[in-house]
Amino acid sequence: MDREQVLQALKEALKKLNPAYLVKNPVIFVTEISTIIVIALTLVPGFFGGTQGRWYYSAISIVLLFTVIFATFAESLAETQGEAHAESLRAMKEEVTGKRLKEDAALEEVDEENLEEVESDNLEKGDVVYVEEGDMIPRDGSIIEGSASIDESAITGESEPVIRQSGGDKSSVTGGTEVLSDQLKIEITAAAGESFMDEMIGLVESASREKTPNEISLTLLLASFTFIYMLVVTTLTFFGDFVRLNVEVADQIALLIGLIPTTVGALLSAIRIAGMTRVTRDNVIAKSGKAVESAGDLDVLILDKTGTITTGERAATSFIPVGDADKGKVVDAALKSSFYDETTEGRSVVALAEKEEGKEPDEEKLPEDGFIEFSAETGMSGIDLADGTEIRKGSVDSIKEYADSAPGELDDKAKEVADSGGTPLGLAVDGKVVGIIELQDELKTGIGDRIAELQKMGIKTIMCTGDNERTARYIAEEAGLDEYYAEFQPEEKIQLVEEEKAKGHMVGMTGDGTNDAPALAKADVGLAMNAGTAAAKEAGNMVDMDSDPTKLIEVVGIGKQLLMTRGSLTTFSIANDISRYFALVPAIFSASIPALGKMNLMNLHSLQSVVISSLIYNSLIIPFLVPLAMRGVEYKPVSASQLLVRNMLIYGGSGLVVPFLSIKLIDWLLVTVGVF
Amino acid sequence: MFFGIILPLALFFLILAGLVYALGEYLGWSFRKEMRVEDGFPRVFDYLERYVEKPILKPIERVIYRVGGIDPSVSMNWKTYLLSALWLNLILFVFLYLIFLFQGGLPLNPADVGNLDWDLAFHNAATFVSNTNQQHYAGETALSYFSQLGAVLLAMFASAATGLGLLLGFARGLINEEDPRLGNFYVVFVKSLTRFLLPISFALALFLMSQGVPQTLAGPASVTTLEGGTQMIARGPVATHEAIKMLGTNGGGFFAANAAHPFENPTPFSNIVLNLFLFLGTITNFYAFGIWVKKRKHGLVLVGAVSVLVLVFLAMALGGEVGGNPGLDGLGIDQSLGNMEGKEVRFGSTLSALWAVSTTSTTNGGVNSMHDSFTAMGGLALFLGMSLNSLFAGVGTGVMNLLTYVFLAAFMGALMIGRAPVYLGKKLESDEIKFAAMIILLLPTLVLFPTGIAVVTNMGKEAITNPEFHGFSQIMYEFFSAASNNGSGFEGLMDGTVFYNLAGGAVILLARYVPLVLQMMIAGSLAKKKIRPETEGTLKVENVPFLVLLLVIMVVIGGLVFIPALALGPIAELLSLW
Repeated sequence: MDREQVLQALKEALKKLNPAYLVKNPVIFVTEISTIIVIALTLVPGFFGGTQGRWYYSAISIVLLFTVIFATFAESLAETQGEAHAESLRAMKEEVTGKRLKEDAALEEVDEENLEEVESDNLEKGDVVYVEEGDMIPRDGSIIEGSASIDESAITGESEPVIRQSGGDKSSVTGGTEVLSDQLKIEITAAAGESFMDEMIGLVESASREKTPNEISLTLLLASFTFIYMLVVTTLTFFGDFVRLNVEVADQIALLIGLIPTTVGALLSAIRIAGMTRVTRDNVIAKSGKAVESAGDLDVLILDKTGTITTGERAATSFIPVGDADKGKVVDAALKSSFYDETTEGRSVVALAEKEEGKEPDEEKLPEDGFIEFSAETGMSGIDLADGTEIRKGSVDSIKEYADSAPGELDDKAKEVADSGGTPLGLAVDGKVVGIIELQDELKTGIGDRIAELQKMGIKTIMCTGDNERTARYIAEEAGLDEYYAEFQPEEKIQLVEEEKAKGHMVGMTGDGTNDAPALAKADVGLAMNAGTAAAKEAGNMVDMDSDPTKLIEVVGIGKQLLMTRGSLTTFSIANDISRYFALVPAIFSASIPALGKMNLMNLHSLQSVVISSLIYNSLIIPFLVPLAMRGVEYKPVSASQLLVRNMLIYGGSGLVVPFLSIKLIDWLLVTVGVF
Repeated sequence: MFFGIILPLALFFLILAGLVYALGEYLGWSFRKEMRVEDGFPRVFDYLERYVEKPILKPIERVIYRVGGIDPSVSMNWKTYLLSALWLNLILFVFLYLIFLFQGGLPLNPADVGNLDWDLAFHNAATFVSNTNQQHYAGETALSYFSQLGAVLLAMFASAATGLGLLLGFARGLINEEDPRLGNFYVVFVKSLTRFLLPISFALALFLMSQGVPQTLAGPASVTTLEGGTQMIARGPVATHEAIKMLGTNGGGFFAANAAHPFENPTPFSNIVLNLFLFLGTITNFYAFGIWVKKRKHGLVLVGAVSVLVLVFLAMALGGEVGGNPGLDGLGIDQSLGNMEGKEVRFGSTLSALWAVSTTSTTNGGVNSMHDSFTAMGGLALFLGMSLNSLFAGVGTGVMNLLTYVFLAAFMGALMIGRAPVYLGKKLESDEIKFAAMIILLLPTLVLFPTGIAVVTNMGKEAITNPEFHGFSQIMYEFFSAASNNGSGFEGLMDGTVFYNLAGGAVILLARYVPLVLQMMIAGSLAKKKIRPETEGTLKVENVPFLVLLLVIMVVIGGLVFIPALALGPIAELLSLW
């Protein structure tokens, strides 16, 4: 955070002092009104029959004023940070010129004459534009023809280009990204000011205005506490009259401010805004604060296998000899057959073989023109060596068809591989089957731990996959998932979401295809992939710009953190009250009722020093806790009861102890310095 | 100390625990159909079902339904349910008011007492219909037997049954899955009487008669004293009155001296039994609530949390009453019996302290000693009980009142673990929290505001009999007692004035019915919600961490707000002594 941001926040903080604005935050509003009353007392000290000097009232009003400013500052600081993120996005949203088709034409037939240049801001929803290599995509849209590789690093930070093509689940493009090759015809799907950037910026701005559902409840609760304390303090005037107790209005105000939950009242907006900012920082657009809050509350996650649990890339995990072939021969053949194979499977075979053999092959013996690429017709790929040796690899069925002889155990071994969730590739040398390459769908790194964490939090994980039962079971067991559905059609997702919801669960899911859209809309949190179709993005209540389905798990954490931060600081704030009873009540009452001086456990100096110390503590604790409010309290994936005990001890305990120590310290300092 | 106080008290609470279990299971079982709990009950209830419920209770209830025009198959939504209860209470209120106003001309008036003034009749009607039983009159001279039976006794049963009836509806709201129907108020009202209140009161009344409590319609006995003078000794149908007075958390005495009077509470034995039933009327509801929501342990957690506070207050009261007044020690006065001012010798300081804490930890409010004469510490303990809305509170309403704190605890607890707040699977959203917050702020409002008025006006101040802090305590106690529907008197306050009758009556009615309306609104809202299944990530409400959380919420939010006010009364008094 730089100087400029702080200054900007300070400026905003002063603007927020407007009572008409603050009235939305009842606790701070009452603090402000109290400040005004004490300022008035500074000007006319005797107005309520007070007997203290002007310096006392002015000291109180200054500390109170700071309390209010710290509160508004906390809010505007969080806003500024969020705004800074939005600003960096806005900077990327440069004006580009789009090439609009005057009349429809097939992609190959588009020529200069049919195109008109239009500023991106002037494009309308439904316009069709043409882009080619080196062009910026003028605004969010959907590819209607063509396929192209696109650099989305401006949005996702991912430098690897992505392929986007018409039809299917990868047809969506984002304004501001660059076409690296080929041409596209794009239908603009976002109206001006409604593109992803605008939404992102809009989120940051709306987050600072709209309270989330839980925050509304909490605000109601804090407001009613404030009302109770106002009643408690104002009725003291009447009671005091009866028992001949002389309470000054300024001291009553000090008691009131001490009792009402100013700390959490001051930090509530900051907590919310910072929570939303954390989401956007993760490159996720949440369409509402409610969605983020719901994310923390999910107890069922429906996860796709590919992309979430597994990388979606199959890799070789072992070489299995069959018949009389020895292991070395299988490894050697596998390596040679895949040496020029640029598919990820081929790369992984080479990597594994090299590891097993411990040396790189002699390249000269492998003529590149002998490489035979995979063809769907034969179901095989391979190589013809210089010495005439033919090596082929492919699906077990294709290899069996190709080979002259296949050992009887081939089928058994292949079945074993399939049973463990793998895919067997047959390997043949000169028409003789020698072994099997076992390919496994790779689990994402650390996914097992993430799933275990989710289970500790009581979140059920369900995996859906189109794969067969065996593969699905294997992956589900490996990753430790609770349930899985094999041979699952995307259309069935909506049914699954509905079933889980009917059981009363809060369901979260990810999706990218048009057939995911109904389920995304039905789920409590539907995280759509930015690379997905417009329909999916429309239906979900969150969009992940990185198109990484694993994000859903992170979003759950952020949602929980948002609620926890709120709860913990409220607990802290309310626990603070206990110290006030032992500091302020004896100080204010003991002048008239000496016996109550015995409640002064902290042995504080005098009425004035207690009032001022307590108010100083009250105001300083706000900036002190701002970093915590913005960062969020630490989240541990443990069971609910453990978490409750932990947070009660940490935040309740410190809420009880910290003010006692702080007030005593401030009192001692004030006395030592000679103020009192 | 150990043999004299701790051991007997431990025995008392052990017996109480046993009775809570037995009667709690019984109460839970009695409403098993309404609450859809079929199993988990002790096997003996099978016999009860076969030999008592089927052949006796059900036919009786069917007759009552037919006579009362009740269709048991009708299930009501929260509004109808609540309105049924309110209508019934309104009719009862008007009926009581008229009886008190015209009792002089009505039958069963052997002592020939006159009509009550309009303001006292209002206060009386309000206080009995609401289960509060704050008495601004002396029973033996102010009420006819007709009033005692036809108005007071009737209201004692009806108000307790109203409480249970509403609790059952409320609990239905919690277990319903997207179903607004809470059952039939009238059916539950009738069953509360036939199965719980009437039979137990009957047995208790028989026991009391065995101890010497009178049960007669004959007028006051006229006796010739040793000096040869004539004394009129008040008596009447006391045993029946006393039984429901304890079981129904009513607390209104037949006589002015309440349970300190030898005809209401003749022996130490009767005292202990009455004290047990004082608790049983309401604690059994908490136990049964656990059964109804299918979480017996949750019921125990609720009882446990409140019991911790009751025991703390009891320790304070014992310290004050058994320890005696430190101011007298210096004067060489023997205080080995404790502070005996305003106490009955047959009960002593221990049983008086136990009773006083029991009666202010529930909305019973009957007294067996004069709270005004308690030491400052003992008196403070009584204030604290009521400042938490009388803790176990009243039949039916007690659970609902505590649930307000439970909602707040569930709300705070959920936020602390990063979940949306849920109670028993029902989401707590801004509506529920709003209503709960309104209930919470009602008590301080109804105590502090009227006390504030009373202490600055002559009509308020002229009633006090002690100066300074104690005088302030007298007034504040009056409104604490009214606003928590407790009904006990600090005594010493001359409260039979128009001001106190009207102010007290109004506070009592608001304190009883506003929360009931809000609570039923919560029930209505919750009934329509889905039930979320429990997972590892759900806030558990049946373990010790929740008990602690609930306790903290009750103390910090409910109790501590009264510290500044209490500092001017009992706390100032207490600290002045040392």
